[in-house]
Amino acid sequence: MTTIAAVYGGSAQHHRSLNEPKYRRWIDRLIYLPQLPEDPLDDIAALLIPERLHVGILHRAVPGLLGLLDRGGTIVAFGEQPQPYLPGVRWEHRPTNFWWWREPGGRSGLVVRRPDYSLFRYVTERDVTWHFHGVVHPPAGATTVIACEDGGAIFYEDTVSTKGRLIVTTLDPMFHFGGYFMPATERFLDGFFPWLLAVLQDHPPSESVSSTPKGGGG
Amino acid sequence: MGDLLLLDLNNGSIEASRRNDRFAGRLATIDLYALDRADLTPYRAMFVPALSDQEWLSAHRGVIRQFLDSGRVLVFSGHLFRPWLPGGGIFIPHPIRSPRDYELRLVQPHPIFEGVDLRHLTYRRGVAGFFARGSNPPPLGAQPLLAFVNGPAVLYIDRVSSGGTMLVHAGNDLFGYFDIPAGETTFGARVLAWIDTEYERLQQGHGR
Repeated sequence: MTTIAAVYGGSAQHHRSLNEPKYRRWIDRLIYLPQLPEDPLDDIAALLIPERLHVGILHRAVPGLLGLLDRGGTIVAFGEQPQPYLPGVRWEHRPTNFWWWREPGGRSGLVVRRPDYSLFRYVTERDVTWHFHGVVHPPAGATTVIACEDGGAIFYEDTVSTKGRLIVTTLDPMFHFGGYFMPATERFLDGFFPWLLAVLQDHPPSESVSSTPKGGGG
Repeated sequence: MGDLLLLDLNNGSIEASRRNDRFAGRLATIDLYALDRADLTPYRAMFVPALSDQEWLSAHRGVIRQFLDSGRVLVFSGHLFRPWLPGGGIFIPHPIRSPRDYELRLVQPHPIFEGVDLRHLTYRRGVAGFFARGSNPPPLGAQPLLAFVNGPAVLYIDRVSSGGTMLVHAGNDLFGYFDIPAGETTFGARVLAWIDTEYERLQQGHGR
């Protein structure tokens, strides 16, 4: 069971990122955000939640998201989380430095803490480096993969807060790739999807997921 | 009560807290998904943000059309991919080979760009690409104002496709640029003054 679903918020940026053929082929189904709270999510192993979605609807979808995690599913969340909707996530805003690469000796502030993490078999440090809008503080026991040099995490994996796998990053690749902006985000997504599938194959959900045909729910 | 309506995407954007100042205290917000149930009569203009759910807008395009046909102004920044905006053509990305390809030219003088250095639109701290990365092709009869130096229009005014007026811009939200200087005032003040003039003109029956 390796079904990957992605939440689609209807923006131009998400439309391009999620329908680009080289990414769409990894996604078994798209779930339109306004329909997420009613979706049973019982046919999927991993749910990708892109950045900059309507926070109110995400919060209404929390029971379903917790159910997916409780079944051993995986959730990957991109972007800013000023009103966190996932267990264990604590957000801290940081001013965005998008011009660091133009300054002599400039640094992004991003530090790879775990170069041995499986993602880095698919992407390089350069491919995860553009900018970030904030950091998250992971719960005890989570693995910080990419950190900010001033503290906090930019990418972490949490298998302790729930029975499932939470992958949280403040990076926002779909906003930028979908906006025809920032080449690193395309390289990131090129590696991200095959990596996500490999994660699911290495760590299948702990309980078998229902094979109930997809329904409208609600 | 504000008379300039910004559709609220409630997406946690860090920009949100800075918006009202840029609208001279005239800002009102309504959640995008409540737009079809809202009374829009208090508003002179509606700002539709670049990250808006265009599937929803397309399914509720009658709301947008009715707003415009009542003699009002709509400002859209973003990449059109659904036909919810009267007259608006589907976004075409501009081929970018160097940052210079993002540079802009004024197609014709217009009050909103009076005193605006176009480099302030193209570059932020030396980084280009925020203002426009392509074109929403304007319909026949629309008035292109800004274009790429070597390419198509990135911002136009459309008074022909509805009973109102649309300012259509293919890039990140225009109000993100409202602070830049424009002679003795700001670009934002110029845009708001133009909206007021345009609204009065429409309400006096000079619309279509």
